[in-house]
Amino acid sequence: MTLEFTPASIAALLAPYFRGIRNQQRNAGRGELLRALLFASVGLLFALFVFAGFYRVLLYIGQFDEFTAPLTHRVLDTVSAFVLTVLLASTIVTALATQYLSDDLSLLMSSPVPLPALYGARLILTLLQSSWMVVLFSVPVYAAFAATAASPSVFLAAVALAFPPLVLIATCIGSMVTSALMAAFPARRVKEMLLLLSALFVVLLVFLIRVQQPEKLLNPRSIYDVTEFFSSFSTPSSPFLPSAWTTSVLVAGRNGEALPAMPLLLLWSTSAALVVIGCWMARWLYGIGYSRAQESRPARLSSLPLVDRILETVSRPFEPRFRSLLLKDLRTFLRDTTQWSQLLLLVALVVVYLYNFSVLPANFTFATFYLQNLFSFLNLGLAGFVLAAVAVRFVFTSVSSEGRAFWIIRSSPLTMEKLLWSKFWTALPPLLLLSQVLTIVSNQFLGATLFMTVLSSITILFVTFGIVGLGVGMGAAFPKFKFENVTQIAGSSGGLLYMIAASSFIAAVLFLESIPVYLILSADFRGVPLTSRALAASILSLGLVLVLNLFTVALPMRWGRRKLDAMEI
Amino acid sequence: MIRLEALTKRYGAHEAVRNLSLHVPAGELFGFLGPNGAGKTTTIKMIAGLLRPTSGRIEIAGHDLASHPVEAKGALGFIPDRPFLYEKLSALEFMRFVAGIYGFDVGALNGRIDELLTLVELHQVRSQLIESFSHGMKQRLVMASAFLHQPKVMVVDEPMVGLDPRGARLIKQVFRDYCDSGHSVFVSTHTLEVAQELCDRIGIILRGELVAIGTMDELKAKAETKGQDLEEIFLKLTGGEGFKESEAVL
Repeated sequence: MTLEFTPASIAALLAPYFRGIRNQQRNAGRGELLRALLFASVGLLFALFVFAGFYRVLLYIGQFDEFTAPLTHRVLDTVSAFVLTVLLASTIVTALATQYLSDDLSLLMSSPVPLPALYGARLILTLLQSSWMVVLFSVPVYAAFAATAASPSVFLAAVALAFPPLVLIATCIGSMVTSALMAAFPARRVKEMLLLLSALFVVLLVFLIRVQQPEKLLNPRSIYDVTEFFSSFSTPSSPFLPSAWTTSVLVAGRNGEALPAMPLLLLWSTSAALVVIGCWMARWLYGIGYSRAQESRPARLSSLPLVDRILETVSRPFEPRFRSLLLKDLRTFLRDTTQWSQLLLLVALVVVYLYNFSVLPANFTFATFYLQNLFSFLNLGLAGFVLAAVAVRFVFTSVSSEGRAFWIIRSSPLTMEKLLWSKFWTALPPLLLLSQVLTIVSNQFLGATLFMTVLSSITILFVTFGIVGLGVGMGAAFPKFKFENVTQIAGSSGGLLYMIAASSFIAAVLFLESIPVYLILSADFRGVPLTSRALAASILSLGLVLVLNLFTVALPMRWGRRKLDAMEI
Repeated sequence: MIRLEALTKRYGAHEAVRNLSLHVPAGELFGFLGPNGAGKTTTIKMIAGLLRPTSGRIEIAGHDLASHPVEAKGALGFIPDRPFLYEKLSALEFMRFVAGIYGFDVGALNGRIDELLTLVELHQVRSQLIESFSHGMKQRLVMASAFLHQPKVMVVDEPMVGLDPRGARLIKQVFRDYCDSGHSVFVSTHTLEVAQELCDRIGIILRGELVAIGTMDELKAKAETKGQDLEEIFLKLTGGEGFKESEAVL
């Protein structure tokens, strides 16, 4: 019996995926439910934030009669172009996994399933996996447009008619690009290329948006800023682009006019044609690409002999066990494109963070003494939070990243205590460097006093120890050795708990330090020496900060060690 | 060299291994047989320190695994059935890594690493990343790394899975030579010919309990079978009547 290329056969091919999700939901424990609840809350907050931002901008644009129409058109065009571009990039990467590298493909490829049917089923999977985030992002954006539209129902009808084909077109094109790449190159090279390009793409997008200084849009003084912001994206408005077709339908919908037939016809006919062409191409391209995906030629970006030599030399003074773990961790990190490409995002994060301080108003440094120091103090919390966000990705994951090879360490005479301290000392230096750069440079931009700069630097030094200890310890207490991508570890319920714990720790440090900072700065401002009571209170508070940091290192590390010792693999 | 005393492992209400006691002396190659789900891998994982026994005691080369895990694990080499390795390391780097975590000065072991990689026929590909290796190559690499620290005891789970005849021949020879030099090997396998050809004594586990232990002759006597091969003895002791109906099903 062979499966024919029918909707029923495609549904049969997709059934295991949906049944898997259903079974996972049925068997979900409290941890998974908590995680889902946390994700939903964060998602909802983000959606509300996006809605509020767009709503405010659209209300503001609406005040200028002659500019309103072209500006709304511009904003909608930017959103459509953004959706098309992000979906294209996301689909190209997702299609690689769903259509070529998935474990169940060996079973399906060896069965008598027609390739177009398999391609069609996988295209739907790719569509679902690559577009859910963009679709969710679009909901608050379009809701804001609907809320400010002449006729919200007409606009929502326009979205319902013009948005789905745009998503489908982006998915089909992305999937075809992946198919062409896979037919031409081995899977590992394509994977590396795509991961690197997607990381660069995100970095570029972050820079592009940040450099435009979107905060200016909330400044009610100048229409010029709004016009400049959207025009600076220079979105091409070629009539041949699907995003332009979507925009023209949405613009008509927002104005409460009849929806234009031509762009709608173009959108639906193009998406249908692309699905058919994709399935037709699959007859001869999918088989070639899948065959190439089995080739195990080593990836090109994985091997850098010079870096290896440097690592060998630099690690030579260390004790053999620590050196072995250090070298293994660094090599694995540097050779895994999914890992090191994240460094690009980290650099972007740091640059944007510091850029935010550099674009503060020029007269900020002349702000009042209190404000200046208050910002510097709060910056400590912000830097701590950034540090925790970096740590959840690189430190919390360090134990779990041993993956299924953990049996090697577990069956060796290396104790879990040594393993955890090795992870701790490996992660600490780069995070110390990052935290010091963030604090000192941002304090320079803020024009903070020497006292605040030194205090921030010392505090963040201790906080880094705490953040790393907490990360390694909690990472060991909530290990996830079976994963496809390291980012799954950071996004686990343990990762979320770590972020909550790290944020609470930072808040506690700030609270304890606020007392001596207030007392010392008040005395300084008034030009009087500290009273003995104030001095005692300051010493006590700072002592408590130190104790808190020590506990934040020691307790999670001990907890993590015990959990790992008791763990069965 | 390996002593198991009243070893029990429970998963909730299910008893995977029940009151298992046995002793593998120095120089013995011990085969551990049993049908799927009998408790072989659970036992092996307990000996390797990957699972904790619910009760009972494990002693390796005179060291109690629970109270002196570092010394016990230092005397043990472990080869699992599925060779999950650090895919982004080369074979040579992996061997050096293992040397390091066993506390050896890597520089001093370079000669031994070369010897072992040559023995398992991976010397030519020592600089290639493990991710490009086949299952059999990974299995041979795990074997080389398990011998690196010259353990007194070797515990092996399904050594023949994924190996070509040449690799299988190599492994058999290595284990035999290793035992002949006074070490012990505890090997679990489904390949009955290997067990019959190689093992000094064989233990058969069924539903978590050791149902038979001894040399081939002792097992034959216990099974009360006239047949000469282990397969017949194994099926008699573990119940193999179900096979009769297979023809009708197929």
